Amino acid sequence: MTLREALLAAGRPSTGAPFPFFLCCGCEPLHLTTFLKAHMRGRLTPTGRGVNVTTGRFGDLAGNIERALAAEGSAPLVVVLDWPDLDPRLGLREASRPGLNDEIAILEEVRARVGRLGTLLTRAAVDRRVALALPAGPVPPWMQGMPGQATTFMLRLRESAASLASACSAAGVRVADSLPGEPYDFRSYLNTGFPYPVSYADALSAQLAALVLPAPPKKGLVTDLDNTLWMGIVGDDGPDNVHWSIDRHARVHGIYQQFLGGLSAQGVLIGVASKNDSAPVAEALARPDLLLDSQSVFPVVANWGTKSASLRRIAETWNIGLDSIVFVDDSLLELAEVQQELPEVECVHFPSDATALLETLRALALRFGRESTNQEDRLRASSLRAGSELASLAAHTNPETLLSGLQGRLTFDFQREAFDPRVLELLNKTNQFNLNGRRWEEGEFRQFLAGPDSVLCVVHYQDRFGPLGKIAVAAGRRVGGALRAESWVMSCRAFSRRIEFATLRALFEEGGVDAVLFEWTATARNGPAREALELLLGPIGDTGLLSLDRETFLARCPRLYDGPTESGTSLPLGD
Amino acid sequence: MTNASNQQRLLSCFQAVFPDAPEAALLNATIDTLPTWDSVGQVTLITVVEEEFGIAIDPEFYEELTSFGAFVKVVESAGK
Repeated sequence: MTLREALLAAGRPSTGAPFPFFLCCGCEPLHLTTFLKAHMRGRLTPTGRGVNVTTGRFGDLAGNIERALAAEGSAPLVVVLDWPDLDPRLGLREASRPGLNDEIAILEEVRARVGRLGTLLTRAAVDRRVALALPAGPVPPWMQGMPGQATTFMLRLRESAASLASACSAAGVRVADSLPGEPYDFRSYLNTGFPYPVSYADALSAQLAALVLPAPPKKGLVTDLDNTLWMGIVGDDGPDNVHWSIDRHARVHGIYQQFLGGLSAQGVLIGVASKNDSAPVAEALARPDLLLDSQSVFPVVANWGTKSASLRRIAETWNIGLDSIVFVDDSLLELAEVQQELPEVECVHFPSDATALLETLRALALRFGRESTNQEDRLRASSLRAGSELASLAAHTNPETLLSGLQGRLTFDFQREAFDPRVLELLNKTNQFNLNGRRWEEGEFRQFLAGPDSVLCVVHYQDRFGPLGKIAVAAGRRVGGALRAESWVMSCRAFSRRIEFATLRALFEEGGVDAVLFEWTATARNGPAREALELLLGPIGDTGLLSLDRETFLARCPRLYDGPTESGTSLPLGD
Repeated sequence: MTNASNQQRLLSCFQAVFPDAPEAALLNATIDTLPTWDSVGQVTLITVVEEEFGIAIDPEFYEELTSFGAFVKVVESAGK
């Protein structure tokens, strides 16, 4: 992006409240402000929101952070650190006479400032998103050693910066990775106080904006098999004669299998769409030398239909949108067919060249990149497999008989002392069973948790098919004897088990409320939430504050297969 | 490259930096006629013009770049 393009992007008309953030740096923020605005706007495109950036004073990074923390609200912080922020003698704008003991004195000052910054940023990360860029520019030439030598002084400087990064990362600060390209424009720094080349400012801003407003990661990868997951054609060569080992010159396929295994361990869904008969495919996938646990691959769709039809089926099984899926195939023809029929799916060509493959895998990894992997992520594939078994059972079994035999067990957790990223993820990613489609900013949610009247109910579930983990959240505030529900979501993996009704029962019995007021708004996708509410309240329209009292709930709640709730947080639902 | 096309490209630079000013005002703009032409606007404008024309403007001339016409001259003197 050029600076002119950034100015135009940043200045586009916007709607709604602007997204606020602080840009804290010790240099003149100048073009960083423009590029950050442009990249933030780009990431906010679906909402149409503008941005409102607050900068600080030249040469006072710590003070700028302190002022941001003292301001009202919990707007994100973008912190761009450079060597002069750790000691002005490390910059080239400050005039000073070099002394014999400069290096010792500078290292002491750097350690002291690193300590102070670490304290500030760790504090900031408690209730807001913080992105940190580490020093990238050079130190004065007279502080360098022999050509090509890393001096003890430079190593200690880098050690200090690394210790700050490590401590901040552990506290939840998102630390930017180093960027390629020249990070320093001395002419600009001398003339304007802005030390970065325009191209570097653009790249740095794009990276920082991605840390503050990360794109939702893709959820599933569907792979082809022949000449993709392995070398060879399983239908022609046979299950024992497809290869992925280095001695067969097929290591790129082995690397790809390991890559898929790594994604699966992070909770990414892995499926197969292959034009093949199912028997040889099943046999090849069962080979013990496969570098990917075949249990983590689900579903495997092997048939002679189009790949787009297979992808549709897989998306239905996973119950996720096609725009959350990446499809990998070595055939450009198959990729073109899928792209034509399903433009939402991101199609990636599997290259035969080893160098190109590594680049492809690096790019793919970014599509699925997430900050952390929680228990629910790891359970996702197995719970989908269980859900599929449950669905096939349900097709032949009376629903009451099915539910009574599930041995379902629910736990309702009302504690709100600790921030749980999984809870925020559920609130912000659930579309179908969602009371009103509301999305929460992290800082806003943290403030909600600290509110004296706030009520948070997090629902855990497991049954004889296995655990589903945290699958539902209700968030609201006490208003007299009622609970005003601002958000209520349930993962689609937990549908058809009447967990929504058990959640309401827990709110009435354990939450001790006489009525629940729902902030209901219809969205394009929240039909399942409407269905549950209308079963209890009758027709509800498209928006409004709906009131459900205890008597009405008890009269209309479907059977939950357990006795009345006692104190505690665990409710048995099945036999 | 004609002067007219240079002028059009400069105008697009000015429009990006001063989006609220009408085109006619920009063609005759001076640092005194545009309230948003402050020190930040000046540095931004210089960078956008350098980027657009692939030139490096000598900082010695920064203080002389106080009008649209002055930018036309500096671009022409750079051989564009």
